[in-house]
Amino acid sequence: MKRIITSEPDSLIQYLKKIWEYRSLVMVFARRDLKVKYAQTLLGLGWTIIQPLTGLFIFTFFFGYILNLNAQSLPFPLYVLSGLLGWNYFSYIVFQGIGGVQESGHFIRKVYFPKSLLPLSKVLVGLVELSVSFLLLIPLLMWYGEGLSWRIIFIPVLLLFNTLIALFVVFLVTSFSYRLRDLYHLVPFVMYFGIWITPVFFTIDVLPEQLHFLWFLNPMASVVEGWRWCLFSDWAFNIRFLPALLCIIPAFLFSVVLYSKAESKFSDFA
Amino acid sequence: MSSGPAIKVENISKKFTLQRSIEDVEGNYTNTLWALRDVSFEIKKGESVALIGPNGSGKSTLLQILAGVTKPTSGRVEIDGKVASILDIGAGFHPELSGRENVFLNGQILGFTKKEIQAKYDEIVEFSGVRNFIDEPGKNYSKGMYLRLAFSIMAHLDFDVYLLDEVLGVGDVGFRSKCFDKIERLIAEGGKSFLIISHDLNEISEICDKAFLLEEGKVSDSMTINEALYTYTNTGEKLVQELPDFIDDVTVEFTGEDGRVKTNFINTEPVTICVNNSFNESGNNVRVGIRLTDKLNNVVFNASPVLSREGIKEVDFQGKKQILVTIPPNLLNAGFFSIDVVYFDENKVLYELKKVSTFTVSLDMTFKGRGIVGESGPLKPYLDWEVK
Repeated sequence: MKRIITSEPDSLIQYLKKIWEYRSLVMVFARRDLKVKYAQTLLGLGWTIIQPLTGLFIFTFFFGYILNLNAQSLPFPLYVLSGLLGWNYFSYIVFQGIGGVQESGHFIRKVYFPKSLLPLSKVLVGLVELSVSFLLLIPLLMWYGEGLSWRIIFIPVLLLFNTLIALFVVFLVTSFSYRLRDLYHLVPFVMYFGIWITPVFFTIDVLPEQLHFLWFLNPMASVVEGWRWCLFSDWAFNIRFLPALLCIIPAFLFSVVLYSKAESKFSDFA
Repeated sequence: MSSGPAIKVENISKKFTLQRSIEDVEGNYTNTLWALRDVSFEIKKGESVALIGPNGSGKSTLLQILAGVTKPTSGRVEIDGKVASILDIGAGFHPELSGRENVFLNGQILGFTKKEIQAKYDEIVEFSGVRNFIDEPGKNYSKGMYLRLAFSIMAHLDFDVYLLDEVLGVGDVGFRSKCFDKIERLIAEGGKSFLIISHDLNEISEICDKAFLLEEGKVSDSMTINEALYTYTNTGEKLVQELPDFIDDVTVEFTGEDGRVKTNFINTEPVTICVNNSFNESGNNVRVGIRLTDKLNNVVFNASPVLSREGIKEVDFQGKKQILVTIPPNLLNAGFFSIDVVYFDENKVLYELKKVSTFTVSLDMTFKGRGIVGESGPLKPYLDWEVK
C-alpha cells in the first residue's frame, strides 16, 4: 500500500474512494456519539425514548385538547408530530454535523481520516432518534383512528432526500466556516427562520397567496409534506413541491466537491 | 512489500499565514511563515531516524504532513505501508469512553477491524499495565496512562511506519525502557521504520541510528546519530558567558601524545587537556577544576588538581598559566566531549564556564578489543576481569 501526499487536494473520485476505505469509522463515530451522549446516566439509551415521548405528550395535550385545532383533515397533534419527524432529523444533522467538525478540531489536527465521516456519522445517530420518534408516532395514529398508508414504502426515498438536504447544508457551511466562523454562528438564525417557511406547525394557508412560492422554493417544505403524504392515506401532495426537491441532487453533488476541496485545509484552522 | 524507501520526501514546503506581520531576515514585513522550506529526505525500511531541532523549527509540521493531517504547500511525499502516528498523547481517545472502548476506537481510527483488535486486545492491555483501570472512563486517566494505552495499541498492531512526536517523555522510567525494548524488537523484526521527534537526547541516542537536523524549516543531510547530536548541541542558542572578574582570559586546548594541538582523538590514545588561565590580582585563593561532559550534556566527571586521594591538596594557582591533565587511553568511548572550567574556593563554586572547548573521540577500527558491545555510554574502559 503506497500513499502519495501532495499539495493537491484529492480528486472527487479519490475522495470518494477514501470515504469508502474508511467507511467503518462512520459506525465507530456514531456508536461513540451515542455512548458519549448518555455517559454517566442511569437510564442510558432510555433517554432517546424519553425525549420524543415528552414532545409527543406536550403536542397532543396542547394542540389536541387546549387549542383543539385541525389541519386539513388531520388532527393537529398528528400534523405537527409528523411534520417534526423530517424537520428534527434535518436540524439534528445540520447542527451536529457542523458542530462535529468544529468540536473535533483537536482530533483533526492529530489523526487523519476523511472529514466527511463526521457528518455522515451524525446521520446514523439522527436515524436512531428518527426511528424512535417514528415508532412512538404509530400508536398515536391508531388512537386517532388514522390507518397507516401503503405509501410508507416510499419512506426510504424520502429519507434519502431528507438526508441529502441536511448534508448539503453541512457541507456547504463547513466548506467556508472552517476558516471564518461567522457562517457557523449564522446557522441557528437561518434554522429558526427556516422552520417558519416549512409546514411544520402551520399549514400553507397561513401565508398570503403571493408568498406561497416561498414554500415551493424550500426543499425542506417538500420533504415535510412528503412525510405526511407517505404516512396518511388521504393526504395530497402538491406537485409544485417537486422541482425544489429534485434541485437538491445537483446542489448536493456541488457541495460534496466543494467540501472535498476544502477539507484538506481544516487542520490548519481547526 | 517493495524494496523502495519507507518514506520518501521530495521538496516539501509548508506556508502558514500569520495574524500579524513579522520582520523577516531581510528586514521586510511579511505575514507568511515558511514552517518548512524545500525539505527532502529518505528513510529506508528498518531504519529508526530522529528528527532533531529547536522549538518551532518545523518538526511537528513535518510529522503532521507525513501523517496526512495537513497538506504541504508544495512538494511530494511517498509512504510505503501502513502508518501509525502518535502526534499527541490521547488524540483519538474520547474522555467519556472507557479504556477498553478507547482501545477499539483508537485501533479502528488507525485502520484496523474490530476482529484484528480483539485478537491483540489482551496483549495490548497487558503491555500497557493499566488493566485494573481499563473500564474506567478515559477522563480519569493520567497522561502517562493515556500514553501507555496509545503506545501499546501502536506497538501491537501491525504497522510499517511509526511517527512519534515527543510522546515517550511522559512515561515513567520503567515504561520507557519497556518502550525502547519494544521498539528495538520491532526494528529487529525487520521492515519497520521509525521517525521520532524528541528533545530527550538520551532517548534518541538509544533508539535511533540516524538523524536529520531541522532548523528554521530547513533540513540537514542525513547524519549518524552522533554527528547529529554533536552538531545540535554545539549550535542552537549560544550561551552568553561573561568571564568572572578574577580572570582576564581562559582557553582550553587538547594535545595528543606528540604534544600537537588537535580536537579529534582515537580511543586508544591519551587526551591531554590544557587549561590556560590568566588570573589577575583579585584571583587569590581561587581554585580551578574541570568538568568533562558527554554529547548528551551528562557529566562524566569533575576533577581538580586540588582533589587528590589524600584529600585537599593546596595548589597555588596564582601566577600560573597552565593546568594540564591527561586522560589515559582506552577510557573514553566514541563520541564528543566538552570541557567546563569551574572556579571555586574553600566553600563554594564561584563560577562555571560551560563548554569552553570540545573534542571528539572515535573508535580505533584496527584495534582488536573493539568488540561487539554497543557504542552507548561515555566510557569504554578495558578492565581486568575474573571469570570463576
